[in-house]
Amino acid sequence: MAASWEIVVGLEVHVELATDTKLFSAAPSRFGDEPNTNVTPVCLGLPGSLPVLNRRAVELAMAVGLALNCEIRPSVFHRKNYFYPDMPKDYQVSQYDQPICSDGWLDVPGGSRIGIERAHLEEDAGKTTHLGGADGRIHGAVGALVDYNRAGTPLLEIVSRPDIDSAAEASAYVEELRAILLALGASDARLEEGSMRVDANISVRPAGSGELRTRCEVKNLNSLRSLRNAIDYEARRHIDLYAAGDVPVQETRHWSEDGRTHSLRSKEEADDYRYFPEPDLVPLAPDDEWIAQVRAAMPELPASQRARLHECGAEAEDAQVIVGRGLAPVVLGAVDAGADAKRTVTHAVQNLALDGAELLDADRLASLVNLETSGQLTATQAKTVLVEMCARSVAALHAAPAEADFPSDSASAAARALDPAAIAAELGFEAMADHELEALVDQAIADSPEAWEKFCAGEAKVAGVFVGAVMKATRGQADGQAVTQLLAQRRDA
Amino acid sequence: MSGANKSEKRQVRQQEGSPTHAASREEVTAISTDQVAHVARLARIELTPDEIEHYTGHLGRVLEHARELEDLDLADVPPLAHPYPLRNVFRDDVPSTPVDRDDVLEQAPAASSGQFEVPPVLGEEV
Amino acid sequence: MSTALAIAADIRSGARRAADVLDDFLGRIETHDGDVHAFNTVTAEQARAAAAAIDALVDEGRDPGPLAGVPVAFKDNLCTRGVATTCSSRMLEGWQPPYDATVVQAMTAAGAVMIGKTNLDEFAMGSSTEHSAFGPTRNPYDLGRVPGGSSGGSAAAVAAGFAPLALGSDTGGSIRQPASLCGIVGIKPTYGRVSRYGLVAFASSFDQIGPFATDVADAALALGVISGHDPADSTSIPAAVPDFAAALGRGVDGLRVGVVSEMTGSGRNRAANGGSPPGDAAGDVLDGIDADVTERVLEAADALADAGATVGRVSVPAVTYGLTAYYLIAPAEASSNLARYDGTRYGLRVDGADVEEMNRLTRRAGFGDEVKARIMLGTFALSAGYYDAYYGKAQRVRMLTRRDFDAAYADFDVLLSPTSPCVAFRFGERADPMTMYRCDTCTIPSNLSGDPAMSVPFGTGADDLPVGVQVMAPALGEETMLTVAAALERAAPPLPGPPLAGVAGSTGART
Repeated sequence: MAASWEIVVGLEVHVELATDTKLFSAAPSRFGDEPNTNVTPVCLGLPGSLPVLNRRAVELAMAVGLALNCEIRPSVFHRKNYFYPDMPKDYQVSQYDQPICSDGWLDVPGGSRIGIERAHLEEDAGKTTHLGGADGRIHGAVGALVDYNRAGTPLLEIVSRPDIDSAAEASAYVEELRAILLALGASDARLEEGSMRVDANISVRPAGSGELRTRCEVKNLNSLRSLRNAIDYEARRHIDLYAAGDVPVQETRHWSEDGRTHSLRSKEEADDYRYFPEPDLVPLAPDDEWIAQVRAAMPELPASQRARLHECGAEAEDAQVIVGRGLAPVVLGAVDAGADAKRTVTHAVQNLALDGAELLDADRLASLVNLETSGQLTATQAKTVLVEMCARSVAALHAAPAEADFPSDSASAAARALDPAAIAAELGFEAMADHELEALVDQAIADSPEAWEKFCAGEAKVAGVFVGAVMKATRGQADGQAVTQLLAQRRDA
Repeated sequence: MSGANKSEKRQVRQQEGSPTHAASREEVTAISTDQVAHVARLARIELTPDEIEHYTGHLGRVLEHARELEDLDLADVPPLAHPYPLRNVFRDDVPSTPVDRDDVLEQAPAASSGQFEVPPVLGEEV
Repeated sequence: MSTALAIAADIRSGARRAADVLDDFLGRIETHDGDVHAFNTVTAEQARAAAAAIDALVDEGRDPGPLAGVPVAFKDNLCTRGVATTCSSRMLEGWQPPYDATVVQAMTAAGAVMIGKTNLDEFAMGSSTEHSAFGPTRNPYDLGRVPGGSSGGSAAAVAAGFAPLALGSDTGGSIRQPASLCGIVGIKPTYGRVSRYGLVAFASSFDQIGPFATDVADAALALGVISGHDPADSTSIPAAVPDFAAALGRGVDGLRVGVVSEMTGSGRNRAANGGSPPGDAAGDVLDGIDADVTERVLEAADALADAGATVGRVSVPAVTYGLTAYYLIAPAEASSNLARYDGTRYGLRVDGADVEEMNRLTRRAGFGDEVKARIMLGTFALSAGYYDAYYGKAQRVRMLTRRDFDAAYADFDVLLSPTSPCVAFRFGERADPMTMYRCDTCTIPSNLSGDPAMSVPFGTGADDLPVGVQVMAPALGEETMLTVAAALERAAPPLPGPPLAGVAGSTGART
């Protein structure tokens, strides 16, 4: 028995691609709508319907593959045959032995290089809701309802090699993959909402042995925390089994919130999927020119973004936060447009954990930071304006043009509605005239003569009394730094 | 011209004998009742034991005939999946109008709450 | 009975009203379809509305199109919006698609009037239309015999004069063989020439829609209407549609016609027009091709030689393995295509305690014997441990067939063979599956290769029943195929019409 064990993990990550329509049908690929309203004959598997491949889905898959240093190869769709009510044709169209992307890698920040075995396109299934069982569980259900809105949504399944050796590394891999997907606009990649789904193949081996032992596939990992905990739990389970002279069984297990993995019962014939080439689709063979076009259209990737953020003075952790929020393009863009790098990074880290932040325009963010650094807005005001900019960006995205929240439906009015200076004006954040501030400072000195004496005697911390008074008088809108400067001027005069 | 495209290596197999002869051979080798029962489960078709016998005979006769392929050396011949060699057929990512849900659910054996209703789903469960 | 071309010309010129033409055909259906049972559904009411709309267009001085007011019958596996599309299966009894097949749209847009949906072997699996869940169709030439299949209803409808045109689908011969047995013309176009969107799939890499007509000109007309690229079918070929009618009168002078040795082995062992004999493959011929049929093919070859064609014999060795390859690949695809009939979304459901039981009981009750057999055969051919030996090997035979045809077409413009190995047979006569499957022995190779092929009546065989000659051509070679078919039609001995009152000879010398 080996003295120490190492963890061996390979991850299979399914991501929903951010297309407007489904993989093989022109039905809208959209969630949250009434059941069975985003379906065509193809999504329902109606007799006589035929699939046609979505070019955009292929291009997104190619872009992800290129970002993961994969080879883009000719590929063929196969049918994977099995019965399930939420599979409208009772087969899934998927790439089998000829995936579009193969043999790449992903560098985990601060960690090692994880091999990518393949990434392939396939269609998602619909959604089954079990009726009558406790908590919508299968057990005890009296029936089920099926909604095919999700059926046919394009999925890219990204399969890593078993190169991951810890829960932390698995988590970092998924985070980095997510950042890449966000940077490419390939997916919104939300684990909690299921637009990114992670299955972990977990085994253990004696440290340094290099062997591959029996693995278990763990599903239902809805957060990075679940992923980490499941890996640690499952690895411990394997180690305990080996320690007891037993061996794990190769199987699929389900992570549940009780902090354990559970075996899934499977049917005897479940494995015989009878793959064969999908005759309704023709082979996919991207040529070099197309691949080059996709590559040329790719935005900057997270690793490069982090390096540039670092050059802007961002700490590694802050850079990671900014990249993780998908804010690197807007932050770097604002800095390129002349905004103060430190202030921009600080805003992004402290004030932009918000919906709509990724919608911000780099030039507008730069304008905002400039308003602040030039003293026209205080830090507090700048934050308020920033929050408003994000909120309006979200509203502008969701509102149909005709019913937008804007005072006018003209484009220039829309642009004005997002302009930081205009928002500041709307909120009454006019930069205070110097003489107004001076009057307020003088009033504060007059109101606290004892404190003023102490301040003049060199007790710098008493300044807070006057700054507080001015802030109170201006309901927090005064620039604290300007007040401090005025106090010093009065003292030294 | 004629005969010129005849593959030299291709072997010619004698035609089968009488159906009775073929039947007696297939019972031994082509497909068993257990295999037919397994295939019926995979294909989700309920069969009685008599029907399994019946289909074992039917499938056996066809598979017995398929044995003629055993004699063909096809190692150098790639498989052909599509009769016409098209590549890269796509659709633009532009949504179309979905079908009317009521039209579709009207044709469903059972529906409720805008969804297709089925008996309980057993199978994979923790 | 008028041809589609004559009817459309009369209606476009105002000489006849579409409504009157329709009534004539509905009357014949009323009188005779009780015996023939070509139709699953007669859409009389809709047809009257459509005919009235055509007449209104003519009245307004507008052109309703090349098929103005021509009644057309659609095989009941072509989706028709709001009209039952059953595939002659209990599984889809009463199912009304929410959309029209592309070919249905094309025919309607050309002015055709749908008169009904025709019977078929369940899900197009069969060669006699005996495997319809709604009872067999009878051959108008002899009600005691089959019309062929699986498009038996469409073939019988045209032969019986119920409609001048019909569409069918051909997966292994399902247009050509019934056309042959019913004494009419049937075309299987190049795979991809005609959109499959809205054709209920049997075997997707073989299925192709095509027309039935009483003569080659009508068939060419309908072919032109339904051909063309369809973005809804990924396997649809983006090629321009030729003027098929222009091909009819070109003549065969100088064309090279190859008589396929493997398909005419039972005939006179001779070389027409100086071709070489079968040579090295004396035993390498297809089994069970009747001598009377082969004789007509050789006479047809002689007729083409007389008309100026260069005729020779040619070997296409792989065709002897075609039947086997086809009866592995087609069921494999079918097993997957027919999985969706599970009782969940449409069609039949037989309730069960859980979904799986519901699936099993539904499929037990909804599918007939032949469909079940083919689903299981295909499931087996794809299953773990057997894929390479069956499905995989059959795909390689398919490539071999492609290559052998390519080699043959290097030397010949078209190939000639029987369509069916026999004339129309009696009900129940071919109950054994392999015996039935051999009906497709001459037609299957073109489905394996995807090349176009058609059947043209050429005289009669046993019991004075019609014989069809098959003309095959390379991919997208429909024009040459039609040129040769038209020449054969001109040379064919007159064919007596079916003994239903009022049906004229379906083809034959017209000059």
